[in-house]
Amino acid sequence: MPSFSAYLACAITLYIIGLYCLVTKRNLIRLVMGVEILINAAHINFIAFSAYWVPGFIDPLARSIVIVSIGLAGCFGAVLLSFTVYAYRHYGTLDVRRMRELRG
Amino acid sequence: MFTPIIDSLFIFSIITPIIGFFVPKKSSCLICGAVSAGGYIISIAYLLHLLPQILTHPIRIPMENSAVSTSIMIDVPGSLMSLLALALGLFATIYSMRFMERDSGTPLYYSLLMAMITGIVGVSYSGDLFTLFIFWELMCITSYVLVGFRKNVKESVEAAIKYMLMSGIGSATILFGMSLLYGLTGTLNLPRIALSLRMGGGGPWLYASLGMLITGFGIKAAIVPLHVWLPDAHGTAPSPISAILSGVLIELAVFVICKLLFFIFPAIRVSWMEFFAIFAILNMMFGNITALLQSDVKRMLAYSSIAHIGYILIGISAGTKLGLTATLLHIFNHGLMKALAFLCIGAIIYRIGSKKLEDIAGVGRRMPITSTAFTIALLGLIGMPPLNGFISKLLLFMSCLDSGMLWLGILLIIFSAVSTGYYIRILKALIATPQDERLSDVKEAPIPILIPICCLAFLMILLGIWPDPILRFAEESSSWLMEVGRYA
Repeated sequence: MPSFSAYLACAITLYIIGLYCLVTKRNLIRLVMGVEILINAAHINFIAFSAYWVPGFIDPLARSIVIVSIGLAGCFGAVLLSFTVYAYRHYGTLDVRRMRELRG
Repeated sequence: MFTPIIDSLFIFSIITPIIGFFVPKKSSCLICGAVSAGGYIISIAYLLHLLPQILTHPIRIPMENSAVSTSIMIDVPGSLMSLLALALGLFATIYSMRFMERDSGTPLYYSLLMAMITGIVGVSYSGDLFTLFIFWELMCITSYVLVGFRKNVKESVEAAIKYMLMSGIGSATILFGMSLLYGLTGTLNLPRIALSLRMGGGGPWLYASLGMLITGFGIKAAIVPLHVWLPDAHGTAPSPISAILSGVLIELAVFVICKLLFFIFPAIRVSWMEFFAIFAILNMMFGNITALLQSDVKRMLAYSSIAHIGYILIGISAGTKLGLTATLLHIFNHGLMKALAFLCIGAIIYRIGSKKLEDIAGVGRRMPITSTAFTIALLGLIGMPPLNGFISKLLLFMSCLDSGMLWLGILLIIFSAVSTGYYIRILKALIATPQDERLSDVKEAPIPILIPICCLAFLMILLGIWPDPILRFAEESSSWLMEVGRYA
């Protein structure tokens, strides 16, 4: 079984990967995935910490926050993807750098 | 379920679209608006009924300690925020009964608006970070849909996507910060975290967690390097939604930052004062100077919200009880003023169909009541003496003097003077002589739009002349936030 700090390192790496994806990618669907990766990094952290405090005991608080948060992330993804469909209808592309109606 | 204040909002947000399904489509906007206004009225009445009890000791729901120790804590600072949110929600609902009549899907609009207010009330009452996060996401997701509610308009879809991407990063960062805090203390209950951090020191992980939480909430509060979504989202949303976004939602994020700093992290107070002073100056400078360059009135008001977040941060950077009181008072007053300004420009858009500064020139002759209320709102935002904006700006200045940061107070006055420049441009456009015949058949706005405008203008003048009740409320709130021991 990997040690506790391995999980923390994994979570931080995922967070950085998510940020990298959000900064460099131009496709809207990839940006949705970037945000989901960021949220999942926090989930891994919670699950790792839930078994950390008392050996052999798993804190139900962290488990419940992760399950609720997975649902919320699903809602977020659904709303963002539906706006992506509308954006594709209006602009004919999924490239975020072409969406430049609002300025100033 | 939770408390009647939140329950009535939940129940009405579910039954409003069901009623809207059965009534004829032509009158559904009026009927559903009236039904959901009933929900707000029940909620406000119950809150006012509970208020004397809350002032002596907070109500904790559930009373006993459950296994995961989540709780809703009905306390004084939360009541200040939720009173503002419920009042503005009621006004926005009455306003939308005529404003949204040309849109389709209005029953769902009222339902989403109500769910957003539920989220705001829940965040201000939450006693632990788990409850806070769930209500926070409820508020965020409904606000995304409301910003992009007119999905056939190109700009509103674009603004919603920008807003969602920024705010989604914010939510994920908040969750990551919370997980680090949970790892440090083993609980998410606010008073318990405070007690646990008081015992043992912080270390670098505590600072990392605090930094992530402030970044996450700072995206929602539009603290300057993270503000890029705000002018787009607030400028293109329907006007009653802009009023709530600008009036409550961004202030709620500042309120949560206050709660975290003064409640959980008072041990590291020394290090945050200069930090927030820098961001306050950046916000005031950027917001006021960019607003001078705008020709779209709603965008101008959105940039002025960024500037007002700067004024609000001054109180936090003072770090004293007076500073916190001034911050909470300015949150309340700015909510009223900015909501009134957005509702007035909404009434003008309803009649003229344009929000450009040159198009509204001379509208004051045709819509006298709306223009008078707009003038009151703008004078309040400048900080003119008989209005409520003056009281809170004076308190902010006094809190700067109190904590020995005179230069920050002087910058507050200088940037208030700069801000007069763009407010006067709107005033000049309102009172100008109409140039052409285009405005000759414009009438005063209809009654449901005028009721909230007149109520808010009256409240602004009343709280400017007689600020005692709200000042005492803010003072009591800040003393609750400063002393965690009172919750035990």
